[in-house]
Amino acid sequence: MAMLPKLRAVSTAAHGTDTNMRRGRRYYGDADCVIFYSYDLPGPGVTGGLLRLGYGAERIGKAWRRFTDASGDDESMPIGDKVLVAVDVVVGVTNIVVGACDFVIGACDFAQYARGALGRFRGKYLSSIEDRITTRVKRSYLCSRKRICRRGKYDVQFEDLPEDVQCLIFSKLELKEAVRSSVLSSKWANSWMISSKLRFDGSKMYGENFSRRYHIQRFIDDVDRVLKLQHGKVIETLEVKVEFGRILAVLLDNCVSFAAASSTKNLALDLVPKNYFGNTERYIFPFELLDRETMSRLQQIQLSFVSFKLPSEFSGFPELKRLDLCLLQVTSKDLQNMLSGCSKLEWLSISRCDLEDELIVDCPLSHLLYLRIARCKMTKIELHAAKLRTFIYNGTQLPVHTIQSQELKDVEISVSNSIAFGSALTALPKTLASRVQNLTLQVPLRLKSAKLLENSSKFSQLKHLKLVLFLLDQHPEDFDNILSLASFLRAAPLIEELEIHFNVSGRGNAETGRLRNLPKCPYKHLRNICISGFKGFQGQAELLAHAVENAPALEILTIDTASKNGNPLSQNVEPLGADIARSCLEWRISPKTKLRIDDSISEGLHQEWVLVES
Amino acid sequence: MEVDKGKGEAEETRKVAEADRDTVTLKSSDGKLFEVSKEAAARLSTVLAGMIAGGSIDDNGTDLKQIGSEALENVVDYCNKHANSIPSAALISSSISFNTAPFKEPEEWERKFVDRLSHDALFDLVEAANFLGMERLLDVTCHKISEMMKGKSPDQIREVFNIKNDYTKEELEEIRQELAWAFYDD
Repeated sequence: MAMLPKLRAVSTAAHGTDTNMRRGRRYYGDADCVIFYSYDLPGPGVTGGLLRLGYGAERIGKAWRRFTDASGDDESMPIGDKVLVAVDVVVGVTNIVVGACDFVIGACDFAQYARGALGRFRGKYLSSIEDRITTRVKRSYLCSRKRICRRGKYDVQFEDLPEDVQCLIFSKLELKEAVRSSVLSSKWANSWMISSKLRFDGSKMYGENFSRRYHIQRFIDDVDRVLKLQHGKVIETLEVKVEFGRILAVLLDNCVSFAAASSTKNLALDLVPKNYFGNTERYIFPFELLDRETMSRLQQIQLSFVSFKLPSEFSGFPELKRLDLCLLQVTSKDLQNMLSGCSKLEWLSISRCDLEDELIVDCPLSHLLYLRIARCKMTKIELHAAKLRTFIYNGTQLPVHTIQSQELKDVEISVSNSIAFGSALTALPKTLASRVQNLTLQVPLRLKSAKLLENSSKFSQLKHLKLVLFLLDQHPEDFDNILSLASFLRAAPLIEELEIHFNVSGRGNAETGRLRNLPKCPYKHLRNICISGFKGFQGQAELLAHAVENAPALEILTIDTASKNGNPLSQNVEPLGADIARSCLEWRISPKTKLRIDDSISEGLHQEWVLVES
Repeated sequence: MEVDKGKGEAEETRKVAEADRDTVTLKSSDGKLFEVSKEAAARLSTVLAGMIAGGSIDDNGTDLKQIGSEALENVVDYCNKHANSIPSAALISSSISFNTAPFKEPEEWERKFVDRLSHDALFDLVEAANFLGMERLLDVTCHKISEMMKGKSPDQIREVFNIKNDYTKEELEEIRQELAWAFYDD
């Protein structure tokens, strides 16, 4: 029974590869080489087999091309080259055989392909000159490949690397750097074209001084030229990053058509101008240029500073996995329909899209793992994402979106308006399903009392809590009531790690009087506490004392007197933090706890280690 | 391979114990034997995973005829280091930015690992990683090679990769004309 899903995966892989192979042949003329465009083939053993099969086939193809280039005449080819050709064939054949074997083990339907491939090679190259090959092979088999390939300084040259590896290396370079490699030598002249990724980034192409006024026409011409050069190739990833202007519309349309013709899977149009305020004209995304096949091929789309209107017969992006929308001009109805048509979506980010409305997606996004909503004015968002794991939110108020996912584990919330601590503590566990394990809160919390707040709803699975707090001078009571943050610990019975980063504007009061106590309340699982921006305020000392006293299993305690965010306003507080921390820990800390105090104010990056031996 | 037992932490000794029980032996082209944890091998190499699942692992040393002992030693070293490294926060949070070619930046130890390799060792390792279907190792080593080309003049790159310039002056000029934007600031 376990074989079934495996076989299915293998069959998909074989299918996908077969398509790629056919495509490869179309574009590479009669060169019988196999090029793999994707590394995401499923089925572990299969991928390796496929790659080696491809590598082998390609290697034989290349070797044979070299041989036929020398017009088959023995005398015209130096001995060294003959040996090289022969070795390439041997290595190639071994790869094909090993690759094919993997397939026979992996899947029956691929074995058929492998046999076909072998047959084709035999038919094409080997039949007429088979004897010569055998002798060549025999003569050179004992020579190790290393020695034969030695041509000077290094054993292995860049151009000896398999084509898919070269492609990977070029894809890691900026287009400009890849193109520049064409002047290295004639062998490199067209190497950069191997990359299946094209990224046109105005500022990278013309330097940081890229100005729309001076460079835009050149940008249009140069991009156009590269597109023409790459015409007919498979380009997996096409990215354009340039500040939008009306003059670019034709070029961008060309890019989208090019993507449709080049089997592009990942398309990114990042057109955000430096100053977009008041700039209402956006690029209108040309849905009419995408045929159904292209739409079902796209896996990742990024659209920034674009407007779109869905065509009436919009059929969705059935394979789309990642969607990043930024500064999008769209009606909420169109966006809802668009999202409803992307049922395989795994990653979704919507930022700075001002829909003054609700966003309700009826169709379940059952593959969605990651959701980010940032600085959108939507009043409400409703998604059915049962498997959502990560939720990132950034807005003026706490999110009102209910995330009904039982899998939700990581949550990050940044809010710009200040919020009373009590209401945050009650609202959050309700909004987020209770399974959250890692929670980051960056909120200007107002701390109104020093008491523990009881709340009925709990973070029952929370293990890691990170609080980024901003304390303002105009609310002095906040400094005194820091102790009340302990309510978070109370609400999270399984908490293991606590991180608090204080950002203080102003001087506060770094003198401590008698520390107030809260009722004892053991945090049994708390192993790690990290506090930064510890200036030695009374409230900070109280919270520290309370947490340490009630954490019997505490292993690591880190205190940093500097603020993590490097807020320059806060650096003028007198460096009492470290002393106060030390004095309030003196008899409270367990000898088993590893204590580290970073006193970065007094001596630059000096770090002080206090290790208490048991 | 020696696995560092110095730390004495429970987690690590447990891992080492597992590795002792559960390893595969790999044989390089020149006949040297290397041991690597089965779990790490299967997780990091699609080819080894396929061989383990398919039962084609030889207890006396699985032949990897395409890989020399130096490269194989590096492969095994990488597997062991990978098994002992804790994924950093950077790896986890990498999903935050949209990236059409998801590549996780090499971690500190991975950077050190490839930095200490000689030119030949690096290229051999790339080929070995490619052969074994080790996606991450291939990514990290290729990243290193791409860095060897970044921000360098053509002459410097020729030096690094030992490339002989076979263009005439006129040919060079022609190429530069054709894609002038790429050579703008030379």
